[in-house]
Amino acid sequence: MRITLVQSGGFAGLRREVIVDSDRISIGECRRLSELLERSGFFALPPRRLSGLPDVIQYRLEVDDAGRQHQITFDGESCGEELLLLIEQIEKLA
Amino acid sequence: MCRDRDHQRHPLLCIVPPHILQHLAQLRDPKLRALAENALRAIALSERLRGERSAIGGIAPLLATSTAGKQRSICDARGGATLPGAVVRREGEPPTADASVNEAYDGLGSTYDLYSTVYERDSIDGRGMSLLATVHYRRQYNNAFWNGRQMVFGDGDGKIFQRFTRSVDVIGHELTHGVTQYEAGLEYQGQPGALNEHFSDVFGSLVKQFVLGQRTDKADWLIGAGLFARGIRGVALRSMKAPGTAYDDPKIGRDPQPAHMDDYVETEDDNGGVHINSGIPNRAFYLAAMGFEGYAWSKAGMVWYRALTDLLGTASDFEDAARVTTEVAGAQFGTAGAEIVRRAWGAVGIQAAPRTARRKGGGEYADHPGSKRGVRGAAARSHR
Repeated sequence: MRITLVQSGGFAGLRREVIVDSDRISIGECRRLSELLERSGFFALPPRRLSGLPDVIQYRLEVDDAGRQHQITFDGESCGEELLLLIEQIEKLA
Repeated sequence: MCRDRDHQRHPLLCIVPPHILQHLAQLRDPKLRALAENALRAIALSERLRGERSAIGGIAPLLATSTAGKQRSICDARGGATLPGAVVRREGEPPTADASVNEAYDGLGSTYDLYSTVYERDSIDGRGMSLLATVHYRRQYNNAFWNGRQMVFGDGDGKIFQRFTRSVDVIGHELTHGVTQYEAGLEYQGQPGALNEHFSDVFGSLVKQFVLGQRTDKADWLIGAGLFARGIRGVALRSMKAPGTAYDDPKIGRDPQPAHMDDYVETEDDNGGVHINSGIPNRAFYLAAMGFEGYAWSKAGMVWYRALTDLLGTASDFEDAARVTTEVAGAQFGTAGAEIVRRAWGAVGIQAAPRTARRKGGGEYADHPGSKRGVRGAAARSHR
């Protein structure tokens, strides 16, 4: 599994890119990511869901997992807590 | 219920349907506007008393308006994401032991004061809206934003950012997103989005200069100075004077803002680079302010305020901004004023083209989707 997360926007406008390769993390960490992907319903989420609010942090998340590939763009005020937990977990692995 | 502020019976309060009242409440005639607002509040109260909440619909936001001048409320989310959180300081109450609360309270006040004193604007919506801010949003949250109704501040993670209430220009910036929402309504994408960010940086910086009593040549023209945690190499998040020079650090990279259209950044991130390309109009404003000299909020700020509130619309781009600010400067400060603004935009690679000679398939800016009204009308309004 390969995960690419790009964070941009927010008041600061900082851009940060994180790439996670499941071959380079522990089995436990990989299992946790898979759980969060399932709980958030990631592969069924629409490709673009933005609040349009100014200065909120924007995310572009791409996952390639055993033939399943999906990319979504969203922001911190347009998504559920499960997706934010997934983002938090990915950032911890950076 | 059918009485206005002076307890006089007025037909507006009795027979005009809510959608007409909403329109009247947007007008600039203060007497008519006040009557309409009072009528809307009365209707809303009546509906609420009858339990018919659904009937309030679009007029509900007016319940948040105030006619009592500056009205601030600071709430505490206590590390959660529920807004607005518990009220911890109201208007007129003494400082608390929490620096975030007091900084937010003071920053809201300073922003209100700039708009009220210099531009004769009654709060964010121009109709006395109460100012609401929440501090301690989520945990280690590296951001501040305007959610369409209120301000929200994070504490920072202590590694990259400190608390976002530390810089008064951040507070002015966020509240100006509210002003833009009620005025030009610049869509948050591409060049209109970069203009949205630009106007927030302009008035955020002007709030700071106003508080410090700084003349143009004494201001630092920085946005977010003091936000970085110890060890981060940078003076601020953005520099209006020298875009692209605010920080250069191994953890967060280098300030990506361009200062000229030649370096305009095309990107899908950040809603099309709204925080990046805003560097271009930011430098134009700085140059205009330096050209006018004195206090930046007085002449340059007035020109930009009129453009934001009277002329620009949802889809306005950099050329639109250059053209209308040049025209407003000409109307308010004569040929010399127009030339200062034209040169400022020219220096960043944007020509203030005559309005009849631009925009494919479009007419004058007054016909532009979402635009407001002609510059003559704006110039005819009183100004200082």
